[in-house]
Amino acid sequence: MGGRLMTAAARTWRSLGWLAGPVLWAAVFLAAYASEALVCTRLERPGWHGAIVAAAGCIAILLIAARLCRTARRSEETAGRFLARTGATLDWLSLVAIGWTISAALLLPACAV
Amino acid sequence: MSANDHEGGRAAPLPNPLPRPDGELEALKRAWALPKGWRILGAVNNTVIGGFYIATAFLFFLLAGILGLLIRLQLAVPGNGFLSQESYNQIFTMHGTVMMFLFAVPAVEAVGVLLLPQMLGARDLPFPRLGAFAFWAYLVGGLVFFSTLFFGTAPSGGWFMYPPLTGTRYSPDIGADWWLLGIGFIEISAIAGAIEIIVGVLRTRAPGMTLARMPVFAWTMLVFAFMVVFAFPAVILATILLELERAFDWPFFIAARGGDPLLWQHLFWFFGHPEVYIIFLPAAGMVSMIVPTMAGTSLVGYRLIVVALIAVGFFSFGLWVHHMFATGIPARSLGFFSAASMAVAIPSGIQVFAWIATIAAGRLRLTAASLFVVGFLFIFTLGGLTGVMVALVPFDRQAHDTYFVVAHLHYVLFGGMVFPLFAAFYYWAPALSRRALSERLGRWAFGLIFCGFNLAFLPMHVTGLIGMPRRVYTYPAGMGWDGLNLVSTLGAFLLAAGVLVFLVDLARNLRPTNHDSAGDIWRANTLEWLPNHVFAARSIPRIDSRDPLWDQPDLARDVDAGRHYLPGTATGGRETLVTSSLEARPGHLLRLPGPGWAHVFAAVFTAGFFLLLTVKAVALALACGVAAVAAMLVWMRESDPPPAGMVDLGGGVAVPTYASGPASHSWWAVVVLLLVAAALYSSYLFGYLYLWTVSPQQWPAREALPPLGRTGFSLLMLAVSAGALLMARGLLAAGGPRRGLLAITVAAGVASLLAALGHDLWSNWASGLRPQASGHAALVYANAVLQGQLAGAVAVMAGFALSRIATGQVDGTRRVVFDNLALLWAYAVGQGAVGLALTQGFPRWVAGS
Repeated sequence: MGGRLMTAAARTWRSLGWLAGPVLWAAVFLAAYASEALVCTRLERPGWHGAIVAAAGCIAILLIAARLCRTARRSEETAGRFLARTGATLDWLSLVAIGWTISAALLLPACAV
Repeated sequence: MSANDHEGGRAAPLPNPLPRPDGELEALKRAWALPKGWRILGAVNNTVIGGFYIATAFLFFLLAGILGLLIRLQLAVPGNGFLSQESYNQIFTMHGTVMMFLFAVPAVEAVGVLLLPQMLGARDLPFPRLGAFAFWAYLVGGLVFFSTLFFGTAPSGGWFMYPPLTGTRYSPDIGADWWLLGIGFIEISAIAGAIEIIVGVLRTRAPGMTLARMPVFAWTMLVFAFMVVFAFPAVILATILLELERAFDWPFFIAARGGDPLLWQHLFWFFGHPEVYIIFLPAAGMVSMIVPTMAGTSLVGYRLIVVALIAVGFFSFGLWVHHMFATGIPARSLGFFSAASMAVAIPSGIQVFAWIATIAAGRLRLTAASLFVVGFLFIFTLGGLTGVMVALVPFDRQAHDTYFVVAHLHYVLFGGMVFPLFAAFYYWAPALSRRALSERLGRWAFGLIFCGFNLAFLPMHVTGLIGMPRRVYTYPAGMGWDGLNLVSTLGAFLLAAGVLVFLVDLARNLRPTNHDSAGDIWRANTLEWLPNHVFAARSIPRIDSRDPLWDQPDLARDVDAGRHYLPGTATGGRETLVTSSLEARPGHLLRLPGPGWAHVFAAVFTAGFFLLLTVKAVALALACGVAAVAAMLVWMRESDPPPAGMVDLGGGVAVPTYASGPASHSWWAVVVLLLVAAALYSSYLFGYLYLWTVSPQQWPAREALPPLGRTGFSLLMLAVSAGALLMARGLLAAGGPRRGLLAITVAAGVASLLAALGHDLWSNWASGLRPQASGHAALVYANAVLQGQLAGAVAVMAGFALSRIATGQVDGTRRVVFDNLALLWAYAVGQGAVGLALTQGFPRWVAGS
């Protein structure tokens, strides 16, 4: 059962891994938005929010950078080349979008209406 | 990779030799023959259903357009008494609702149904009856919904239906219920269409049509369909919750009782903003098909356009608070949404520049279609720029709820979707009609519509900036709005005159046909321009480039002569070829159903169920619900035919006639359905956690919760159900004469699933929790509602599977019916466990923290 699950996960990654950039952007975005609601309404610790956004953003940026390096090293085999290059461009766009999300946390105070 | 990835120079022999055997073509015609006379209503061919679909969507465009004219007449002069306040409210609500839900989304879905099979080289979409069901449900539901206007019972709370205005306190009549049940139901029809499009695009492309060679319109429809899958469930959940609040006083949106009206806005706009791109992307796909043909050159930046489509699909889900900048959300959060609004502008800009570059690279023929494309570029770009303006929080706070926003949204939606749709009519008419539309009338239509549109909506930017609010039924003189409003009204009638010219053109020239169309008069590049018949192209082409008709000059002749794959019918019935999702390699032959009535009755009764609930005719509604399920079961009777061996497609390629598991098209459809269910439940999770952040005092103390033992029993029942599922899988895989044991295992497993739900409900009730008590209590019971509808679907599917098992139609090979049940069943067990963790575990956890 475990082996089958691993195979299914590997197959899913091969088919959909090229979408990792925008998925990571979505994760950072969700973490940034949801954590501000929690930090402001339940925990009442506005100072934590900047750290949460920075941590989520840095993790995503590192993951995307790792993906981009791997894509650049990959040999030019025909199968999947289109998707790999499409994924790499999506990665760059996602980096811009993540950067802008982080910039909102840098420029604006947490929990202020 | 070259710009076009053309495998030029390779001259592989064609799959099938000439001459073709006697009777092959006649057999193909017989298999795909359309019913005659009024029986055409039972047809399922994509060309018929797509035509019906487009005609109906255009009818709703005209009806909603007339409502728009009434709005403009009322606002033409200050203090006008042409319409009463209530009539005006109903009219502007119906104008927005009909345009968004009954015209825009169905229209682009209709173009997909009509064009995709031919464009992909398939004979039809993979679920013809599902497509027909979606259409009939939309037609019946839409017409009944629109007719409420004539009885003065139409909704009047705006197309976004914000509570508390739409709660029972301020909207006690049934107008809001029509919206909630009518539109909620039509959204289900849109999801059915989306499932069909996803599976169609991913699994029925012509051999050789890899993802890198897929027409951009197919890419846009794929992204569109996935966006529908993830966005629509949010508004479906919102409509369920608001209807539960109105019907049973469950206070999800009543702030005084632990609910929050802003929850509606979150759920609605989580759907509502992606909706803009759901409408725009397919229209952009149409432009990406028209521009290369009219410019006579390949699309510049194909891969970048694909990137842009996918990026827009993702980023557009980070914009929903864009519509809620004035609701008191913290400034930093607003900044995140403002940043996402900027991010989505980049891929949108990529597309615009790619079209301009394509026009610059070629030589644009200034046809009517081209004119509408140029009009689209001008108007949509302006709408995009004002979109960036309203994405800036300080500006939005000034412009919010003014006519500036009305101007912006019309520039985006009319410019971004309606202009491309007119272009599409002029461009594709020759592929579907005996005659092309008139270029002369088309130019007149374009001129009037373009001038009328700008005359109507450009002044509205100013009207809004000098302070005129939206949704007012009249205004006093002397505010500086009088002249601008009059000009807008004149523009609206000029626009209507343009639409009238277009209608005259349609009446004079459009002669739909499925065998002797005017043909490829534009010298186009993609497969929908192959000679088409009632069975689509004679043979399924093997392609090796993105512009097959340009790069394979003999393709049309060879395909029509039957030299490519499957030039006849291999099994004597309707078939299409299923290919692999990435590389489009032949996989298996899919046998398709023909005309019938069960899906039509299923649609009518489903519509009856929802619409009769609106007028509180509960018994009759339930009878319709039962009849709908019965009709669906009849419809499914012919599904999953037994394997019929291998068939030869030509060129030494032989494929099986049966597939199960991930190879099967229906497995893919159920997986997409599970994504819909997961999106619906994720929206519920968001709602639960959202209300917890705004009304934590409503969450019960540990002692008020049902005892842990009861929750444990529900979990145990779920575990038993999961065990039964695994055992049934094992029995099926083992084969042998164990039909009785298999049936008992399935029945017991599904009974356990239902028992877990029933026990959880009883457990909450016995602990004194009542859904009317608070927002929290209402959410706990809403969880049961969601789990109940899922478990109900599993029970119906299990009943069907049991009947198949009993009649020997399910075994280790022929197992699609069981596989589909197993997928939904496993998901239901998982959702049940998450629901218990959320409604019983989470309150304990936060009470202890």
